[in-house]
Amino acid sequence: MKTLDLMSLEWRLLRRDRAFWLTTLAAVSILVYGFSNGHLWMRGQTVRITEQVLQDQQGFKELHHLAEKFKQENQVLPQGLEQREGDPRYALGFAANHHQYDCRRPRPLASLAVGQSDLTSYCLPVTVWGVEGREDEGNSTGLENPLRLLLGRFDAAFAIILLMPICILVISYDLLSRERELGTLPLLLSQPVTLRRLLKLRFGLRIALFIAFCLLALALCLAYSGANFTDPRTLVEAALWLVITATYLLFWFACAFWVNCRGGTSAEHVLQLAGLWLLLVVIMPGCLNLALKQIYPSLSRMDYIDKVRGTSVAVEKKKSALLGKYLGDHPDLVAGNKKVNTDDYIQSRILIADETERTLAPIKSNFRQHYAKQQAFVEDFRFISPAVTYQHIANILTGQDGPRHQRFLDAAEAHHQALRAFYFPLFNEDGPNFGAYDAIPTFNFKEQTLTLMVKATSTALLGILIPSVICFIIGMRRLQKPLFELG
Amino acid sequence: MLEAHNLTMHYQRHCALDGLNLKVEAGEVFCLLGANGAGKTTTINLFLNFITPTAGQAKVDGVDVTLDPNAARRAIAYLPEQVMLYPTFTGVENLDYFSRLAGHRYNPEQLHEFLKQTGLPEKAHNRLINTYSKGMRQKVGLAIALAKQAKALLLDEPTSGLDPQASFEFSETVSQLAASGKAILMATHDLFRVKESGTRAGIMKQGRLMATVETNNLNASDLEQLYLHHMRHDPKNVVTA
Amino acid sequence: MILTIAKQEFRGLCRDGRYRLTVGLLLVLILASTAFGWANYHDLIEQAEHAAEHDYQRWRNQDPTHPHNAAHYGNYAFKTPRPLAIIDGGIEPYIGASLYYGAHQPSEVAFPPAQDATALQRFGDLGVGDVARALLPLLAILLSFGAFASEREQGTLRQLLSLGVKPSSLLWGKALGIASALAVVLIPAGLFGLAVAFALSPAEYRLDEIERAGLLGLTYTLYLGIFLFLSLAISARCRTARSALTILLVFWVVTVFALPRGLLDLGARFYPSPSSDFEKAYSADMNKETEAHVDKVFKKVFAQYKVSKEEELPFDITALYMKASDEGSLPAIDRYFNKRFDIYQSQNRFLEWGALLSPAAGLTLVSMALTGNDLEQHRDFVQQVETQRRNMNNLMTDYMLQHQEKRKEGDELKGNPALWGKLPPFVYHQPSWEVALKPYYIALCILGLWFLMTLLYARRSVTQASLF
Repeated sequence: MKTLDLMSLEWRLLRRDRAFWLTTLAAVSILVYGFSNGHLWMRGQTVRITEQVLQDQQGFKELHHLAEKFKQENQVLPQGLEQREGDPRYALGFAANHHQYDCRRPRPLASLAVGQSDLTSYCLPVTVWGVEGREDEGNSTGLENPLRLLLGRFDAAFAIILLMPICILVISYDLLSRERELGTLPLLLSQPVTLRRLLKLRFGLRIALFIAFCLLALALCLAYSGANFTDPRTLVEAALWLVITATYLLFWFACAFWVNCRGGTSAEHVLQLAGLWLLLVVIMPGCLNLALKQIYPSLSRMDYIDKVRGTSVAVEKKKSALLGKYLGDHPDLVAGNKKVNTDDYIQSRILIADETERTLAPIKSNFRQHYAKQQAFVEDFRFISPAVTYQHIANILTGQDGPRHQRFLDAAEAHHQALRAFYFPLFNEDGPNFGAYDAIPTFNFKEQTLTLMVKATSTALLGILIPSVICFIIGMRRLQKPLFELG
Repeated sequence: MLEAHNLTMHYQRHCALDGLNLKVEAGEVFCLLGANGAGKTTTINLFLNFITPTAGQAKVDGVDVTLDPNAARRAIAYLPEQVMLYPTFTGVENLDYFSRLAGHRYNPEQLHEFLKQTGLPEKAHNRLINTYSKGMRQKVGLAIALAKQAKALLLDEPTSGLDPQASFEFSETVSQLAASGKAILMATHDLFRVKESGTRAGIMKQGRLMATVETNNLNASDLEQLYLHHMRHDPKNVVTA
Repeated sequence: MILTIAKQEFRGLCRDGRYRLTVGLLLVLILASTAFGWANYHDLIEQAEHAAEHDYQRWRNQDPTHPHNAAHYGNYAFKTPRPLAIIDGGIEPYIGASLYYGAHQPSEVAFPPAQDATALQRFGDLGVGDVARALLPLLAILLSFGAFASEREQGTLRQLLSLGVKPSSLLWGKALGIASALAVVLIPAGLFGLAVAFALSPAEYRLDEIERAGLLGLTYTLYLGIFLFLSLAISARCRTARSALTILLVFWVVTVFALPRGLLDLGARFYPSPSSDFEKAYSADMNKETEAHVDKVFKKVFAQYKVSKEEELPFDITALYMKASDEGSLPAIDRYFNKRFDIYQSQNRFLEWGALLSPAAGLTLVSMALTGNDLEQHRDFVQQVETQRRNMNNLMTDYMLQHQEKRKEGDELKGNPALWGKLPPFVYHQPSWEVALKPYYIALCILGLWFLMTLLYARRSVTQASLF
């Protein structure tokens, strides 16, 4: 009998399988709802970033014009510090009024997963004096409902990791046992078609259809939502994402196949598959999380606050020594005569900025190293559950992973350092003729190379594919035994 | 057509079939009689290679079933005691499905013809199976067996639970099939049907074939006497009448 | 009769190796996560007390400086966790336990621990509350899906009823038997919770904490009861055990895992979380209103002294400016604070009413409220800190107002440790459970309704159950 004929027979059975179609419909709706949630979040970010960039450009232009105007009109030079900080002819004035926000732009696939992106700020105001909002001291993401952060978003990634396995369970837990319980198995087995072949086809057809429907729905969503597939990199990332997602879904089918081949009743299959789901999706990641917190307990942020505050007291003391009569935070509040030695003030301020950064550097790097250790731990153990493996790689492919945010912070920090290196020498001998507008350092964020992404995806692919193949092989071997309970 | 050579089946310590030797030629209806657990269904399962024999051979059309189960299954049609079919398919669709699995492709007229042949009322052909009675399902099962155009038929207690008329019609069909040159092996409790449609009968007890008789030499009550005799006595000596 | 059935059911379950294995695993899991939670709680409390003490000392030991400068230095307020946080951490990882308060405007969140964690945290912490919310219902389902369906498949149901056993007694008996099997996990966990509440809470909150623990136990029991009776009902309704199990498992996954997220995201569609526009509007309004108020105050003072410029005043106006700008900013601060939390509240209301679809959603809210880690108690904490912030700023500006004579250059006004010491250290006052639970009465009522409905449904299903 030809495979194609057999397939058409299977298709007849499948056509009448209400559970399959209802479940597939439910799966697709869940995915589309998840996608739309993720897309809403991504669009919000994109709109905000676009606005910010526009605003920054506008501000730069205006400032530039103002400086030129002042120069042409030969405006009176500012007297005090305050006026100088407001005069864009000076580097100090330009730096003070030139706002630059460094933004972590969502990657083209970002609608597919919210990942860690809702926890961290994606637009940081970077000035020559520092990177603000980096540790969320300001108000950057404090605006999200904390309960929503706790429960997490209902995004496509969540739907795929947690809910799709259940859909697959409902579709395939009784593909063989159903025949036995229905009583059609003996008649079926008396036909000259082996059970292995039949079951292979039966699973193959369902796997192909279910995965095709799910991925097609998401691909359409992506295309509809305006992802630019003419960009080769986007295309490759999307392809990688589709492949890894298909593999993850395949893994759950492989589990169902294995359980089906083990014999037993349908009720037992449901139990076994639900147990497996619970173990791999809830318990293992949860235990890994517990283990991680035991091995690398979160550094105390209270301790951090304590140290930072201690440092700032020390710096404050130096500040008073350095600045003497000027009030640190409000030079404008200096009583009486406001004509102060501006250059002296600026130099002191540079010294203080250096001092603060130097003292806090080890504490901050401590946190960075600790995070890197935790991340390394997760990467080492991600293969204990395909759910963890998948979440890890899906976050990377959609650009919503923690390490990308760390790279973003690094880039913002580098930008800040470049600004310092650029401006500080100018501040020291400031005159009303600052004109190196094009040389002002800009934000420069390099995405991870595609090669690295391909490599990470391949490893994850292997990590999910190997257990799947093992499940299939064990199932096949089990079916080879002619002794098969018929009752 | 169907041959068993010293066919033996052990389940752990329990012996389900003990050195069965049997030959069913084309055109013959061989009925297996015996109490529950005597080894009748085991014999049929062994011919289908649903289970692997501990020792001995089962051959269908000269092919050892353990060596090429698919070739053997092509040559046999099987009718289980409870014919269970796909409830979401109609009678015709079920017939079509199983025939195609067996490698045949029939047009709708032919399919309806098979069903008519078994006596299934025509208006039931296109109804869903879950509205069928046991007898109707049995007829679809028989139609499936017919449509397979196999050389041998294995029938596992096919008339149990059927009403007298259905049972009669069934025996008629079996006789016709035998007359058309099929080898038929039937496990049954129905002594009367054995006499009506069988050509030979074997009496089994505790996994052993105790006796084989030609049914045209006996009337139904002789058969009953013989059967009861074997059931009451120790299965040490094999008697051939 | 009922007792006999219950005993038989319980004994049957105990003989099941799978039951013993599951219960064993659950107990180990609960034990492990409590041990971890306990250690974490101790760390937190120690750190909080240490940091609070240090920070307050630093505040008091500030060098003499301008009072407004001191206000800028500010203070950190730490929220001491409740012992019950061991059971359910709620939103704590996402808001942190500390708030900075200084001059001009309040801050909201500082250093939420979630930011320092990896993506793994999104799978959940597997705390005692999570185990009870997610895994115990599964145990209830596993123990009861076959109660009627399996008996029907085995044919023993007919036999039982032919003996004259009333279907309702069968239901109560089985429910009792399964409940006692569940109690093997629940009672140790519950007793443990009470012990924790008793042992760890400071004397002044002990009674409240114990009451909270008791209520928590009751709520979780109610929640499990819902699953128990629903499972029994479905078991009686379904022809086969496998369909009963499949239906119940899907119900479990959907209501425990999918709906809470889905509902809250739905809520965020109707009531979008504040965006950057919100922030902009906030600072714009605040600046505008502050300016207007300062103008008004200045005009009044100018009129009073019949001058036209601040230089002509006989005193330094800085203090007055501070006071006016503080006063001017408060309405906007309050307005936007309330607006923001009202948005969250509206979003959470989807979860609250969503309890009609998913009991787990309601339980999440009630459990967080009782363990002191919900949004409303966070709001209360932020407000307490804001009161403290205002007290601090008033103290500073009042001092400035008392010394507003004109000064020469190099002779600025300076506060001294005596002034710093006037600000008492911040102490967080925990609300009692009545106050904490009040916003969630709807959720609690819906949970009760669920329990009642499933109970009635089970009764109905059993009396109407088909025997075949």
